[in-house]
Amino acid sequence: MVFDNIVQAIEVVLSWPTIGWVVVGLLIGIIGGALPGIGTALTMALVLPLTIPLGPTNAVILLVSIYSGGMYGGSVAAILVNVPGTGGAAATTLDGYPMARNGRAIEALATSATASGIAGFFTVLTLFLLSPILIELVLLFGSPEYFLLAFLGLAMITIVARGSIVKGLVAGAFGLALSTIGIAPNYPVQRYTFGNIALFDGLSFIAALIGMFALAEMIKLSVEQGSIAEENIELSGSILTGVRNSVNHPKLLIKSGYIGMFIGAIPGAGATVSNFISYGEAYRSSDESETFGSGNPLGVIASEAANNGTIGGSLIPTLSFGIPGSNSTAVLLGGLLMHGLRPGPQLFESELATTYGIFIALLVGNIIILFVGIFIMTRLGILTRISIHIIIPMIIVLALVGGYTLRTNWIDVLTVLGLGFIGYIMVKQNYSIIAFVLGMILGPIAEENLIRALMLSDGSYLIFVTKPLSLLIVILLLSVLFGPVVKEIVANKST
Amino acid sequence: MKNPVNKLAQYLKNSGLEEWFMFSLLVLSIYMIWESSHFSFSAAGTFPRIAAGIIIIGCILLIFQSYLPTSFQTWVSEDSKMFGQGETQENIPNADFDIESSDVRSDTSIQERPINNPLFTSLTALIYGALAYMIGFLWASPIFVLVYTRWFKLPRLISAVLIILSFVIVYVFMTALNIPLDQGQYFITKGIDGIR
Repeated sequence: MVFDNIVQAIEVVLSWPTIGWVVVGLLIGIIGGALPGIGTALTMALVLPLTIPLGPTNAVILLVSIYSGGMYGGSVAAILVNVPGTGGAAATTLDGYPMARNGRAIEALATSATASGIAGFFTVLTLFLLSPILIELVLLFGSPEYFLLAFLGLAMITIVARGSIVKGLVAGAFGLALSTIGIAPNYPVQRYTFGNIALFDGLSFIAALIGMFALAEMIKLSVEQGSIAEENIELSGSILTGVRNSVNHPKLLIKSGYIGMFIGAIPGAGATVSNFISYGEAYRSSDESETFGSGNPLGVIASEAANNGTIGGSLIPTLSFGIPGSNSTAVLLGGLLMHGLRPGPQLFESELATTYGIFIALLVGNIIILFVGIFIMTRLGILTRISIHIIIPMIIVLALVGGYTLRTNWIDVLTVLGLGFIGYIMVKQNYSIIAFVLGMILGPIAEENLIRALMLSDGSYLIFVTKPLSLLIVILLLSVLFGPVVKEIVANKST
Repeated sequence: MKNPVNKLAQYLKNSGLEEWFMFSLLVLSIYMIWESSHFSFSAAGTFPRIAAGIIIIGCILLIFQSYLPTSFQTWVSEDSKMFGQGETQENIPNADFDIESSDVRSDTSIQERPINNPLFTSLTALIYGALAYMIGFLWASPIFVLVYTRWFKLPRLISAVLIILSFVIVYVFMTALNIPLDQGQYFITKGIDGIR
């Protein structure tokens, strides 16, 4: 069965128009990732409404390709203007920008493209090999476990996201609360609709995503003037040398890719963390560590291999348990749900071909990044010189129009606007908007699983602690939430 | 003893944006719990009560954090930064990089304007939404882009290109998704066909 699904997935991905969507997604992702202030998650959120006419497979493959392209695209601004287009390219600036200043910009971009493509390819291949184990693991989880996992995912996001744990929980619970608007699942009850028929289907989490990631960000960016790049970096250097840099360091390449994959699998950690950890490890283990920070290509390889490796890792909790590893995978999760694909057993049983299609699309995408990145990168520099005030009005237009086209419901436009303003306030006050978004996305899933679990146990909440796997998740949840407090108390007592 | 309402009013008067945000969340949560008690099926109120309860407990901890033991204060108020990074958001590069001090020029002309840029952007986005409701996105989008580009003093050529681009974007959405974005609720109700 697994083999049949893999073959079916290969046939689908390599056929038209799916392969076309892979290329389009990569290009959109590269451009979105290269524009500082825009980034992958916002690009994916804006494209979401446009995926409505596409079938589930093509839509998800398009989104995943944008995610993959965005990871590479973030390195363009990092190398050319010392400002990463995405958080996953932050460590790339440390050596990529000095290389550009030393007349090796093209070499740096080629190194980045090669490292991204090869590391991404190997980590997704590993994901393929791990998938039979993942399938068995996912099938062990039932309704009680999925309910608890939703809260565990929220808790994990709060410990890595901005602001304190309590602020993160408040933000996440706010998202959960808003997700209850509308007709209740399993009961014919209108909740918080004020009798307004437009609210019977609740608030759209896609509109919430667009508001939080697009509009809030544009309001924040509007305080700035001009473009990100002040000076022109001369694009010179050798593509071949750049490719050789990566190919001649296979051990570093693979190690960094797997560091990215491992960290990506931890919910909330994401590429922002993995690229720095990988860079630190490369620095520690290198014989020429004193040259790091002044244009050593090994620094670029470590960072870029890790951030593309993160993609495969972050798909593990997203597809298996519905716990996204980052903003981008939160949007991807939203896209999956929008197209009727539920994370968990469904994706590894009846929709296994779609899941393998995602992996194959990533494999193919990483090969395409290798070639597209190397050959178009000399033209990408212009993106960093675009004024922020050219981008902002276009994004706002896309955000509001996209919000309306979801369900042709003006409540969705109000959601984009309202949550855009609230998101701006939340960011200013250090509340995690990813925790909020996660709350909105996971709320319906968590509630359905809660209801199902209580039906199974005849209303007894003990079901969440009597099953071994549920008890383990409860212990993990309490450790994540209260571990820092206990640690602080123990530390105070010992001093 | 001071009237609790007066005390609350005094607290709110001295409060900043965060306190108002928390107060709004508290009011919302209390309303959700109260409303859930009127549901015809009480089980439908379980999940909203859980969510609202977490908000209430969290907000109370945040409001009264200065009265908590030191260990709890740290937990309530400080960034946890598990990996030494305070931000997972991949699309916010200035989380760890001080963009204002590197390549991007800050807005130095705030004093010349009656309102600041974020407030202007928020208000115009809101008015754009309202205008789109009245006349349709196809006609409201170019107006919004015109106002925005004039405020930020973009060159006229770029402004014109963006206005045309916004029209094209909405037109493409309209055609590709077969949604009447050229029709408003009060004006131009028949869209392009009505104008012809």
